[in-house]
Amino acid sequence: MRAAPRGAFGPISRTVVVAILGIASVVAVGPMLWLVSTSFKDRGDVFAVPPEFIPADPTLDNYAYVWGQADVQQYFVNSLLVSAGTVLLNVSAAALLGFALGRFRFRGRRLLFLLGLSTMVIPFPAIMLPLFVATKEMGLTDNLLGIIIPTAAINLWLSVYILREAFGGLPDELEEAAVIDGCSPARLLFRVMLPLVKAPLATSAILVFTLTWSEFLWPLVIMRDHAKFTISVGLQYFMSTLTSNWHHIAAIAVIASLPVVVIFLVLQRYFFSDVLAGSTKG
Amino acid sequence: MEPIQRRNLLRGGSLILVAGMVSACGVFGGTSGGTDSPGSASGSGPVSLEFWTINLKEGYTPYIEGAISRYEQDNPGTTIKWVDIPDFEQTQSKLLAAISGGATPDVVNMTPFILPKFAATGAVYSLDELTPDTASIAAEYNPGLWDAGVIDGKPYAIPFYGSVSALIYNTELFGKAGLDPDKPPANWDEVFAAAKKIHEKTGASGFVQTLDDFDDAGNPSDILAGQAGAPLLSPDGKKAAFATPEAVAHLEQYATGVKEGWIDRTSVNGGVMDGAKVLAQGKTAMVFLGPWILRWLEDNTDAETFKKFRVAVHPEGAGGAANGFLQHFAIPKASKNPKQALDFARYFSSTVLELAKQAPVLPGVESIAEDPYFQSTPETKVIVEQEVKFYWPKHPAVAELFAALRTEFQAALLGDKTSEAALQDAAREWDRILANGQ
Amino acid sequence: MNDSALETRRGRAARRARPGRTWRTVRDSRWGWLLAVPAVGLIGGFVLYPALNTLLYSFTDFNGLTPASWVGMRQYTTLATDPVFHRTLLNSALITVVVTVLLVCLPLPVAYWIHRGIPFRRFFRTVLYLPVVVPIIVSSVAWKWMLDEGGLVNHVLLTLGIVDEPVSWLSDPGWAIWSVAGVIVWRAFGIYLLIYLAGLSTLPDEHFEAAAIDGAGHVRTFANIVVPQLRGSIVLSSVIAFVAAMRTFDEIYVLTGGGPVNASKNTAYYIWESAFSFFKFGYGSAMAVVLLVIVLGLVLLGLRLAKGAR
Repeated sequence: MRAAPRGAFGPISRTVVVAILGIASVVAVGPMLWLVSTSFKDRGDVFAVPPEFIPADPTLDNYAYVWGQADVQQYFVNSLLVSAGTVLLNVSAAALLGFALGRFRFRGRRLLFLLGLSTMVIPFPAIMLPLFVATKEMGLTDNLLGIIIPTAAINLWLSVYILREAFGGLPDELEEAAVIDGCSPARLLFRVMLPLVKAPLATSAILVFTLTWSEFLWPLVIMRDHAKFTISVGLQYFMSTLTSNWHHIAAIAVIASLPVVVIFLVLQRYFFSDVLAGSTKG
Repeated sequence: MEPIQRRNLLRGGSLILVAGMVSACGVFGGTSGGTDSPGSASGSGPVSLEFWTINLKEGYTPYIEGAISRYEQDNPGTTIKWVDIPDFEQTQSKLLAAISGGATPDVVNMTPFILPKFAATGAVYSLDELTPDTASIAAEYNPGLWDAGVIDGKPYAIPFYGSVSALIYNTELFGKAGLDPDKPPANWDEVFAAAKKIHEKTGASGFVQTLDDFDDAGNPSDILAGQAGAPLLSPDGKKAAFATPEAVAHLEQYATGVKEGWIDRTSVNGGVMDGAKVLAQGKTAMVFLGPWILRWLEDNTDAETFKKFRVAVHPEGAGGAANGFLQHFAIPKASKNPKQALDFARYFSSTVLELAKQAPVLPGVESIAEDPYFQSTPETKVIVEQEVKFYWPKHPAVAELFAALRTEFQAALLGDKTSEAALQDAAREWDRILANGQ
Repeated sequence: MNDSALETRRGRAARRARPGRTWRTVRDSRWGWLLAVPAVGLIGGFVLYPALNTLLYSFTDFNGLTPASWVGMRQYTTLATDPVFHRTLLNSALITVVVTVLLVCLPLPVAYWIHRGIPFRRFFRTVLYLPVVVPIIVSSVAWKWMLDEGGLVNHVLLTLGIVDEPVSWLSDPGWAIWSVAGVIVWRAFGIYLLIYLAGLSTLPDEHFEAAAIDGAGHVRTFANIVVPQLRGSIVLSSVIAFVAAMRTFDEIYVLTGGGPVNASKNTAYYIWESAFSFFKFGYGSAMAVVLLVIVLGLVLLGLRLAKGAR
């Protein structure tokens, strides 16, 4: 049951819309194309005026150089571990609480929601120092968990909000039927409702994954061992004052972006599938 | 205002609950001495030192690791854990967090920008506390670089390497403008005249002098003190003294230059590397940066373009030499083995020739500057032949002072204010910050 | 089941009043709190606890290095007369309003077009999401280069004849803040498109078919069906965009450093600068508290309005 009947647009409006989206796409990918193109350029062509869109003399040297820096592979693996761990922790905790907030009326639930909401608007620099101390006290410096747990916590309410809406929006009949069947809340959550909120779960997952992947201040502050740095931190070695060689930055930027592109391409079918259609099959 | 002790806080009326929660974890009160690196009583037994550098990992790892392993071989039982921080700006955040958490390094690469605050708050050792004879140590180092780490008469840091701005210019643009590439401008009147001519004849800007960067915050002080000869502070150090007629007139030139296009507009809010990029693109003819930028230019332009760039001594200003910059090592108070840390810091400074051969910088150790290497090329000659001066105040609030100065400079360069008003406003802001006695 | 699943919120709300056996009507604190434990632990330990310290710092002159002294309300009275702080509040408001409005509104028609089967929709969907996946620090630096006087943006605009002379996107105080806002919108657009597409995918086709039978054009379908049906997604987008825009830091850090002349400095950046550059943790903390109070007030107001509108 895919939406979108064909031919919903007449020839003129179709042309106009495609033109608009085409321009938007150029704006959207322009900077990335520029990065990709720069990543294949020879050192001398980076500053060419006017800018060269397609490198006259493409080279793979930049990738070889950047990937050859032993640590880059380590950063890359760390980033994958950290982002995946953060998503897992964040989305599981948020799913439980989102379910509770969406389906239960319990004492203190409003207060809890407001407290949580306030965590979303605190600028990170304001809590960075005490957060460091707390994380250190727990012995999590130089441990990837020292990135995973705080990052999951800081972005938790984003997912809670999304999932609360999702669980709250499911029809009451599901729950009534479950109650009549003598189903426990846990069973209702895992067996009945969780499969129905796949799209919001995927939305939270990709949001949190993206935010974690980009985070550069916290991982730098909390990690002391180079071997535990993430790619966003490692990137800065290539972007700093003494070292900002654009052909290298571009290559590592492309490397750093690829996994997120792949994950998006893999996950995207969950966003666009018809959730409720799934629910009626059972 | 007495310092809050934990106990006082607990008695603190309605805040009891909050304070209790906080003090339970020891957040409050900053330096809660380190508890890690166990079993390393000073003097005997195995010693582990944590060593922080700034932005040397990419490109200099073999040098650092080689130097560390030589030290470890010569000092059995000592191991060095090296951490490199990617960016100058983040060193301070990371260090502050580490100190609050009691997880400080033993030797840390600092800049004159952050050292004064750490010295004033007792977060780093004065070298006097670690060794009886600092005078003989001082004698080994370049006096200008050493002096940058002396605050209120006490030395706090071992110089690692320094950098003095030189003039780096594009000979092709000089030629097109009818200027003699062999006679680069030697003072600021000549710089301005050359810049106007270059802009008139080639359309490119004459020079770029960037303001908006943490790394080159020396530029505003160089413009005032080095170029215009205005002292930054009054002799007692309590008031700003830079709003002199000479400084106003000099800043006025900058404002006019930006307006008319013979000073590159990137100056207003660009950083060091933005300035370097404009030079690399041939859009400006001159920059005033340390010769280390040549390494970058070589990496980012083709061989043909790179040949156009040449180095000369920094134009002489009314105040004499150009403002320098340096990296030095300090020993945090939380170090378990401060004496060994000092020994390592001195050792590491002595290895700087290897670094200088990769990127032309001025060694902290004076005898190294006499190495024949520094006579081998024009850019290395420039390094050792120029005088080093540090105009900026060694005041704990130096970062704030410079932020204020930069903001007012931007206002003047953009024409929002007259140069006179900008400098007077900046001076007022400095007086306020200095009076706060941070 | 199929019909009820397609009911609107209003229908469900009406039915909720009927006695039914669901946990929504039973006050079951036990289960609710049990499910909340992991989340409460995370938030409590890693956000609220540090935030409590921040609150405490705001009444001290804490400098990050030495034990702090209690200064009562001094930081707050200083804030009241600090023109830079006022400027940053204004800038935060400007960035937030512009970014929120653009991010909530712009992706809506795009989502509609894609959902209704415009040609190349899969392509557009993917391409428009791409900016989200590039690490912020990289895309911001790339934009910094492109927005340069002699950068790609000016080059394109000059070539197309849209402008006559290069625009100083980052060094003109009048432009800097809008450049920052523009980069944020560019980067985050895909997230909101995604939220709307996810929302649209739960809408049954019958709505569109019915509208087509009624002879409604796209504009009417969009206004009468899509916007009301997506109200939940729109509120969600507004909340996310609002808090994200309020917290904006990375883009300013890379693009402008808050300049020129504080023209693009927002409160989050000023907090960072005060604390980590100027060692004024007490002062930065007080700013954070003031900002939090303002924002929380606005969010509550917004949620109440959204609820009232239902």
